[in-house]
This record gives sequence, C-alpha cells and structure tokens, in this order.
Amino acid sequence: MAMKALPLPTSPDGDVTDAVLTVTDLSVEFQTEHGRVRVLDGVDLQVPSGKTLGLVGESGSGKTVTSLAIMGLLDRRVGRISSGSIQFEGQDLAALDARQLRRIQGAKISMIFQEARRSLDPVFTIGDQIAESVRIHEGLSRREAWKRAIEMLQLVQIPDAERRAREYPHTFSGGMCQRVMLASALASRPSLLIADEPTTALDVTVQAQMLRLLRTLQEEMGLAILFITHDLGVVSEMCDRVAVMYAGQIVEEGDATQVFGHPRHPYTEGLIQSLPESAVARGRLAAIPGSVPPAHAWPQGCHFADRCRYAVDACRSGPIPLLSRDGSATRCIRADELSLAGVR
Amino acid sequence: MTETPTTEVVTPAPESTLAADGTTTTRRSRSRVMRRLRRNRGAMIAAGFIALLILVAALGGLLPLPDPNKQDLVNRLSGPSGDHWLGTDSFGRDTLSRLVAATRVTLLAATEGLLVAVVLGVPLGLLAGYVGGATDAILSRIADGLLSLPGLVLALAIVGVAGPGLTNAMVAIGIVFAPRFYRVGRSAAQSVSHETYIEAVRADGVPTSRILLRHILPNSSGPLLVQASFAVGFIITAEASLSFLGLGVQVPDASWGSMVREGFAHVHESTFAIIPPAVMITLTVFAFSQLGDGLRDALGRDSRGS
Amino acid sequence: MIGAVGRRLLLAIPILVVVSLLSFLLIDLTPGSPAELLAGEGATPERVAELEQTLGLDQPIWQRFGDYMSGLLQGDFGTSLFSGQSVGDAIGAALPVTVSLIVVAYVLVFVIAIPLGVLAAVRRDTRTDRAISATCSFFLGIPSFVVALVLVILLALTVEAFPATGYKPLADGFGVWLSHLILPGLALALTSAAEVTRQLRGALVDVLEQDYIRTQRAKGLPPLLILGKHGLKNAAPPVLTVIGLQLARMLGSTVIIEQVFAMPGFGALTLNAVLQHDFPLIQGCVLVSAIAVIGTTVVVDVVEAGLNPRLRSAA
Repeated sequence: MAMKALPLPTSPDGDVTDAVLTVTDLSVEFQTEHGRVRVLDGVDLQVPSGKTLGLVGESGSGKTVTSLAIMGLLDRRVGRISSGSIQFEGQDLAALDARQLRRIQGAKISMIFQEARRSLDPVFTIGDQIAESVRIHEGLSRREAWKRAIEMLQLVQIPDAERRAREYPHTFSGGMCQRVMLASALASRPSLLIADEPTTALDVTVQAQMLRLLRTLQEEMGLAILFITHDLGVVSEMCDRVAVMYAGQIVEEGDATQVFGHPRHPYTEGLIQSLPESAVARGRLAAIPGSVPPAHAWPQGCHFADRCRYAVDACRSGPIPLLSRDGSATRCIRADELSLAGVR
Repeated sequence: MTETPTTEVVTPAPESTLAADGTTTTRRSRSRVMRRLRRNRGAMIAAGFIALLILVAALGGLLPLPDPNKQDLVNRLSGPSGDHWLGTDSFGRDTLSRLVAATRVTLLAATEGLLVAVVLGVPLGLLAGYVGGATDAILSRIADGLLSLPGLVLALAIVGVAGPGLTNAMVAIGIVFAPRFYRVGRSAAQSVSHETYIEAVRADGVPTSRILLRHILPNSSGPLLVQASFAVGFIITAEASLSFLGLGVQVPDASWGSMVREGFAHVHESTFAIIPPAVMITLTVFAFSQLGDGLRDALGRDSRGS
Repeated sequence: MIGAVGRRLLLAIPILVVVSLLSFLLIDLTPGSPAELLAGEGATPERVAELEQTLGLDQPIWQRFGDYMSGLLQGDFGTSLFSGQSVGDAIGAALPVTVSLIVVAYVLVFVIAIPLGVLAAVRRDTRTDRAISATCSFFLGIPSFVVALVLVILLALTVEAFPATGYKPLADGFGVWLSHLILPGLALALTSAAEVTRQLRGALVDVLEQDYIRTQRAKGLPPLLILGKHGLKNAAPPVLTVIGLQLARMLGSTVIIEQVFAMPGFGALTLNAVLQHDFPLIQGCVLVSAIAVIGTTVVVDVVEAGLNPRLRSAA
C-alpha cells in the first residue's frame, strides 16, 4: 500500500488553468475491520470549466468515494482524506473546515445522487427543500426563496411548477424526483455539478430526457459537470473527457472520443467490450472475469493485473505510474505494445 | 460486526434426523442461541443472580438465621449490627431473615402470576392464530381492551372485586399479563399455520389441540421465553406494588414489596429498613430484564441469520 | 385530515365497548357474592339482600347491562356506595391532581429524553452513547415506586429540598404547585424518559443514515438544522407512539406515587375504591383510565398522520 502517485499529467496544450476543479494525488483512508485501508490511491482529476468529465468504473472502484471526498461528505467516523489537494476556485477544499466547506456545498459545488426519490426528504414539500438551500446560501427571504424554487422547477421543465412545489416527493415519479434534485442543486447557480449515477435508476426514455436537460442547462449556465457512471453509453453521449477508475486509482484519462476509439488500458478495453452493443457485434459476452478486489486486498503492482489477460510479470513487480502522452494518460506499462480494441 | 472466536467448550448440537416437524432446526438453533447467550456477559451475570435467588428461596429455611417472625420490641428499627446484619424492622424482627423468607414468597408469587398469564394467554393465542376468523376477532378485541387499561389499574380493580391477598393479587397480575402471551402465541401460530408440515399433520387428521401443543407451541418457544423473562421482571414489580399498597401479601408473611411498605410506614424514624428489600426488587427486576435482552438478542440474531 | 381523525375514532369505538363490557362484568366475575363481600363477615342475610338490591344484583344481567350502558352514554357512571357522591364527581375532583402530575412528568420526560436521545444518536457507538444507553437500561429496570422512595428519602427527608408530601392546586401559585409536583413527577418520569430516550436514539440513528440526510449535507445546511428539522421530523412517528404509550404506564404508577407522596388524586381514589370494594367507583376508574389511554392513542395516531404526507393525502 506504500504507493505514491505521480504529479498531475499536464496536457500538452497546457490548459490546466482552465480547469474549474483540479484534484491532485487524492488519497482517502477508511477505518475498517482490516485496520486503516486506503480506498483512494493518489487520484488526479481535472474538470474543465463548462465541460463534462466522465468518471467511469465498476462498483467498488472508488468513484463515489471520490465524489464524496470532493464534496466534503465523507463520514468522518470512518473515512478521512490522508493526502492530496482539491483545488476549486483558488481554494484547497481538502484543507477547509466544516464551516468553510458549507459555504461551498450546495452553493458553488452541488451534487445529485442515484436514488433521487430517496434523496428527497419525504416529510417536506419539494418547494421547501429547494428554497431551504437558497435561503441559507443567499440569505433570501421566505417569499423570494419560494419564488426561486418555482423558477428552478420551471427551468428543469416540471409542468405546473407552482402547484407541484407544494407537493411531497412521494407524488413524483423517479424521473421527476431527479429533476427536482437538479432544480435544488442548481438553485444557487453553482459552477460545478457532481452527478453520481444520476440516470442509472431511470428507465431508458426518461434517462435520455434527463441527459438532454442536463446538456441544455450546462450550456445555459456554463456549468462544469463531474459525471459519475458505470455506463459507457451515457459517457459517450454526455462527456468531453473521461477518466477510468479501477480499484482506487485512475487507470486511463483522456478525450472521450480518443479513449473510446483507442483505449490504452486493458481495463478500458474490457469495459468497452462489456457494452451490450459490442457484445452483440462480437457474438459473445466479453465481460471482464471476476470483480474489483476489496481495498485491503489490492496487489502491490498493477491493481488490475489479476484480471488482465495481457498481464506479464513486470506488471506485478511494483507500483505502476500514470503515464501521460498527447493529452491523455494511462496506468499500463504495456500501453504502447498492445493494440487494444475500441468502440467501432 | 465480527464474531470473536470463543474459547469455551460448547456442546455440539445433537444430531437429529427428524425433519418433518421442524424440530431439527429448532434444536440446532437452540444450541446456537445458548452459545450466543453464554457469550453475553450481562445476561450470564443476570442468570447467575437469578439462580442464586432460586437457591435462597428453596434452601433459605436451612440457613442459621433467627425466626423471621420473632419480635424484639426493644431492638426495633436498629441499623446493621453483628446480631442483625441488615438491622431490624419496626417490630424488632430480623430484616435478613425476613428478606430470605420474602425471597421465597416473592419468587413463588411471581411463578404463580407467570403461570396464570401463560396458561390463559398462550393456548388462546395459539387457537386464535391457528383458526382465525371470528374466534380470532373476538379474542383479539378482548386482548386489545385489556391492553388499553393501565396494568396496575386493572390489577387493582380485579383485587378490588376479588378481595386482597397474595393469590388474588397474582391471579389479577396474571390476567394483566395474559394478553402479551396471547399475542406471542397468536403470531407464532399465524406464522406457521400455513407451513407444509402443519398442513401435512392436519391432513393426517391430527386433532387441533394436538397440532397446537405438539407442533406449533414448540416453534414459538423462543419468543415465549423472551416474553416470559421480561414478564417475570414486570410481575415482580407488580407484586411489589400491590404488596406495597397492602393488597398483596398479608401479615405476618412478607414479600419484598410488603417489607418496603412496613419500612415506609416508619420512614420518619428510620430510612434503613426500606433499603434491603428495595435493593432486592431492583436487582431482581434488572436481572430479568437483562436476561430478557440477552435472550432476545441471541434469538433475534438467529432469526436474522437464517 | 378530518377523515383520518374520524377513522381513528371509529377504530377506537369497539375497544371502548369491550372495555365497558369488561368493567361491567367485573362484578359478575367476582368469586362468591359481591354483596357478601361488601357486607363483611357475620352480616345478616337481610343486610346482604339489601346490598344486592342497591347494587341491582337482584335483576337479570342483561337488564343491568342495559341500564349500565345507557347510564354511561348519558355520562352517568353511577354512585359511590360509600360517599353517596356520583362517581363522575368523585373522579372529577381527583383528576386535577393527577393531570397536573402527569403533565409535569411529561414535561420532564421531554426535557430529559430529547437531548439525551439526540446526543446518543449523534454520538452513536461512542462512549457517550454507551453511557446513555446503560443509564437507560438501569432506569428501565427500576420499579417507579423504588425511584419514588429514593427521591423522597434523598431529596425530601434528607436534604429537604422539596416538600415530601401533599398537593397544592395551581390557584395557590405556580411555584407552590410545581414544588409539590417535582419529586412525584420525576419519580413518574424517569422510567418513561429512559424508554423514550432509547426509542428516539434508535429512530434518529435510522434516519441519519438515510440518503435524504446526505442530500441536506450536500446542500451545505448547518448540522443543527439538519438534525433539528429533517432528522427529528422524520424520526418523530415511532417516538410519538412510545410517548403515547407512556400514559398507560404513568396512570398505573400514579396509584403508587400518590400513595408515597400522599396526594389526593385519581390513583389514590382508585386505591380507596378498591380497599372499600366500592364497585361503581372501581368501574368508573377503570373506564376513565381506558378512555384516557385510548384517547391518547387516537391523538398520537392523528399527529403521526399529520406528520406523514403519505397518510395525510390518503385521508
């Protein structure tokens, strides 16, 4: 577990400064029954302003922990940031105390979650729940805040917003609940939205509408989005850049079309081959065998080696650095010699 | 929650080939429950204390103590001394002797109350849960009605019409607690009455009473045991309350509650006489609730685990 | 809302009917003749017959039940065999004492249980939580009359911080009224406070782990607002149920507490009725406590329905 991540891979065109969020060497440790376990291992991320970064990986890869760490929402009794920085608008979020973080949470960085219905408090009207946050952050009066809540509901295209604002979450469908969450998240005009599997629980039609709405609002508000999902189809539709996560590490990062067209890490290739379309095209289910190992059992060398069909002895000999080239990066020592299959 | 490996020797579950009526699972899980219970230190201390009480109640007469009813009006309300370890009461009777005698009275009374509650509640509950319909509706309304009365008020009312005395008091308390056992029996019967093995014995023409007692009752033994352990604590409190009010045990006999009553009557002269019986009541009630908690946890985890 | 109240009241009616039936049958279930019991040993047969007539026992049971129920429906609980006072008046005179006692006890329950329950939930699985939980187990195990005696001996007789006995009506001044109620109120409250603390902790721990609480944190709301507004409102229903159930426990305990503190309340009235075999008064006391308990259940259910938008819109 004694592993040090490389410094941030700087893209050749040098537009690092354009990133609204820059995460550098972020490590998180959890207190578990196996003692202190590192569950995030030197994560580097950049979310370009006004653009969307997709963070993909199987469950257990550390996507959600990453997002909670950025939001300052890690449960303090079990998890803590052990190293790294989270640069956002000139501040290091990792170094802020709870009170300072609250001025950013829900105001400048907002978050929406997978289970929208369970993420809304069942005993308050949705109007109340949206208004609550702008009253806290902008000091609006009750009446102004309510007006804002209705505007936001209209913005996320909820019909009959004035009436629906007075209703409770259980009267809304799952898709509508996610719109309400979005209205609440965007009410204070944040510059970054973290969307953790926002469409996974929705059915396909509703999912498409939601993604369209997100893109529209992103353009209107100049919003940067960190889009967390395990669904590559959604990533290719939504994202400008993509970071692939495996077992607490970023294993590949780059321009979305580049990564999907020409993956440079065997895990990315595996993910692409697990897509239903490719599986059909190849006439077999090319899922990666096994599952993400638990954090206390991560190997010394490449975390993916045990599931990788290209693995050689060198892969297991020691920590593998994230190597960058031409604005993309990979954590595979064989990246140059392998010719991996992308989306056709 | 990791289960720490235990070093104590645990008797292995008896191998059983009986599967048709569910006794196999009952027996196997019983040893698992006992193992968990034994690991619960609070519950084991409570069980030890209760065992000691039962021993004192059974063999108390053999102890070299003064006659609990021997009066000594010169030495009344004395504090602890070499002659009287726990002092004397307002008639100069030895408090320790009376406490020992009262342990027997209290435990017998608690047993009596528990028996009344179980004998009234469980069979009716099993019947209601098993046959359902109008029988269930009527019995359940009566149980609801009884449960909507404050327990002590109901017990008082029954003693009020039946007259004071320990037996009447314990019957009254038994009636108060019967609905709780009714509910346990009813839900146990409801949960298993549609199991295949019950349907099978029913198809064999086994009479209802036999099905209830031989096949359904054993399956509800866990929850009944938990309920009984809690109930004994409550029943001892109730007995103490009624005896404290003068409606339970009658002079010259003593229960812990009546000893508190006698002590309280002279509280302005001496407060010490109240303390030993009050401590005994508290410890005993606490022990039964700890044991009940332990049993519930041991059984609860079992039902969740399987 | 009104529909929910109506439905709850309808559900309460059969239980009330059962309870009035049970309290009516109390006399008939008596082993032996109630009249003989009343007349005492060695009474003349004439005296027994006279008592039977007074009790109406010379009439057939269905007729007595009819008279009893029609009396109840007109608010007539009968007449005390000893004072000749109407049962309703006797209970009415005793109730202010007990209501005061229970109100004070409930206030104490809230004052003790809410901060402790919230603290235990927020600090769950810490030493604070375990200490609170152990204290609760301890008080749940102690009969309330032992608590009462300890309080009397320590705070009234030894320290003389409070009056040991008696009751003063509110008309004598709030301070006087309260000072006579603090000790009995505390004796009545401690067990309930332990029960409510435990329940509140459990409910709040469940709620604090819900996704919607994480959402409030993500919105940047201050922890106290999240806890006080979102946490407590969601945790309230099961806790309210338990708070409601405490009334039955307290009503039973007042018999003892009023005895220990020499208060002329409902509990003392019930005890005297029992000691004197005053059947109509016993029946009245049983009925009034049942009505109080069932009424509380209805109120709790309605409040819970009011807190839960799902139930409210279904009503």
